[in-house]
Amino acid sequence: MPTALVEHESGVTTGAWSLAGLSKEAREGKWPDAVVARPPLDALRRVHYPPEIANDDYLSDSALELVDEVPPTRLVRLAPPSTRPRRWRFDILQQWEGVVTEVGDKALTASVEDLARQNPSRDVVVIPLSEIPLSDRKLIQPGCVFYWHIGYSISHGGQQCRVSEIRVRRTPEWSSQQLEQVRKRASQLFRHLMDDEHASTG
Amino acid sequence: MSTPPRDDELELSLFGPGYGECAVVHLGQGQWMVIDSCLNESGDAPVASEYLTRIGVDVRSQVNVILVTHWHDDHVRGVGSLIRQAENASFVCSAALRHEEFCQLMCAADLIKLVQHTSGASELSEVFAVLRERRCRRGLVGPDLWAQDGSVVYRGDGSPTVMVWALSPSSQTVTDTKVEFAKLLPQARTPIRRLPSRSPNEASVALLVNGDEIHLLLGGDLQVGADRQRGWLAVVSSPVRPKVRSSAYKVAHHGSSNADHDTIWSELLTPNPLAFVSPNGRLKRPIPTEGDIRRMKGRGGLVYSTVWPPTLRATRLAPAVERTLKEMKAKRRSLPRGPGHIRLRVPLTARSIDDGSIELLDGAKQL
Repeated sequence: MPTALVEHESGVTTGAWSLAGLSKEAREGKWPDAVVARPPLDALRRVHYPPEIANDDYLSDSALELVDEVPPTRLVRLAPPSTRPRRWRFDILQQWEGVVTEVGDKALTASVEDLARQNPSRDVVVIPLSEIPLSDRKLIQPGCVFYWHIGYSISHGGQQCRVSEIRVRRTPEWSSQQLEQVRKRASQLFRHLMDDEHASTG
Repeated sequence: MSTPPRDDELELSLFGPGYGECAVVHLGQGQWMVIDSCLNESGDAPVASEYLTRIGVDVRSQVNVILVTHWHDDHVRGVGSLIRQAENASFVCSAALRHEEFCQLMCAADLIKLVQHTSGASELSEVFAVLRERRCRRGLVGPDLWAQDGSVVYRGDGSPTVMVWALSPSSQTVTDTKVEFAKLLPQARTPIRRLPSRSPNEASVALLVNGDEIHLLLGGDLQVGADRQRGWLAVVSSPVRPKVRSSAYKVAHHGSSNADHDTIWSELLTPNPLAFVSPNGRLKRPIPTEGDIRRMKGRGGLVYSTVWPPTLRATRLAPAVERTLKEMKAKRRSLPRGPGHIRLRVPLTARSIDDGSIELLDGAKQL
């Protein structure tokens, strides 16, 4: 028998009800007006369809609303599924990871790797600095790493627009302790190298 | 293609994938030297060890010297792996790296793991780690030789005797690099970044392979230099370099104009020498440029390139992505997939380079 996940007001899933009244038509997307579920639980607000009977896109949005309490069996009214996506989403067409190699007055040069590995070639790109968000422009230096996504941004209402988004990777700053550690290790290594009696400059 | 050279044959194989460079030299009697390193087409092994294994050379015992001309990314990829395989090779690097400041760069690079590919400094740090592991056996921590002008990198025991001389860096450059490395050191409260491959190219090792009558000049990335104490100008005026002229030249710094000077051709090379170049396509303006090619051809000899052009038209992506790139006025191009290969073989006893043969493999071209 199909079951419905039960959620408290807090949104935490606490258990499952069996949906005695859920018909074959409901499972196939022909939504019945109501189903009978049991056993009763307190403080219920919404009942989500389980994955096997719900369309993934609407899973979180579809609910069986409790309309009456008929212990030990409850009649729940089935809300129709929403016809629009609930959330904004970004469908990625292409994503790269890049390392800046040169920064000019108007453009930067970078080597990029295809993160999806659809395109195994090693690419070099020249990107106008005007395409870098203002907040990130001050971070652009040779050696900095950035991520570049091109895709469709799809709004709550289903509006779709093509977007290029470049984000420079934020990295921690060098701390005095790290640099001191680097200096100590380097000093030790250099002392060893200088102690090498056999090595010479020819 | 898969046959090794004869014991009495000199070979210079130059590999370059459009970003990266490696030269493999047969010094006679089955002894080999590898200069710099880049990766094979699949990016999982040094091109030198792949090639040598393919022609039946035992990398472990027959690679006599591994030399890193300088520390930039495009010259050291895979050198850590190579030195692990070539257990009997001596390791040589530029004397300009023998500074505490460079040790600091290596140690800092070890802490930076931002992207898949390591920087040149961290690759060299791996080499030093391998050398440390071998310390008990070799009694050394660092390189067997810190090369600078006048250093003998290799002396063969066959007949004729093949010698390899370092022509650079000059003593003045070794001093200068201390300051240059200090400029690259990370500062407190600045973001951690991948170490950029920046100058000084004057710290690069240039080499002379000194045969009987045939000599080869391998220019590394050495640039001209500001005066006669630095760069090629120092090499030309050096009192300690062998006064011979080479008939084949691995063109310095990917054929760029700042690594070219009339005196290289008039003082160090025979008339109409063979010129081998490995392009660098990762710059905003790839080198060599068309102008660089014209200049090299104007020197009279034949010019060969490991790949040409240095970059290719990029593979087409989804139409929506291509439209976006066009609207952004962003330009994209691809580097060639794998390294091209120029191979020169010439008998050690030959009187002229014309007695040798040149093979152009894996996309290498005559320009």
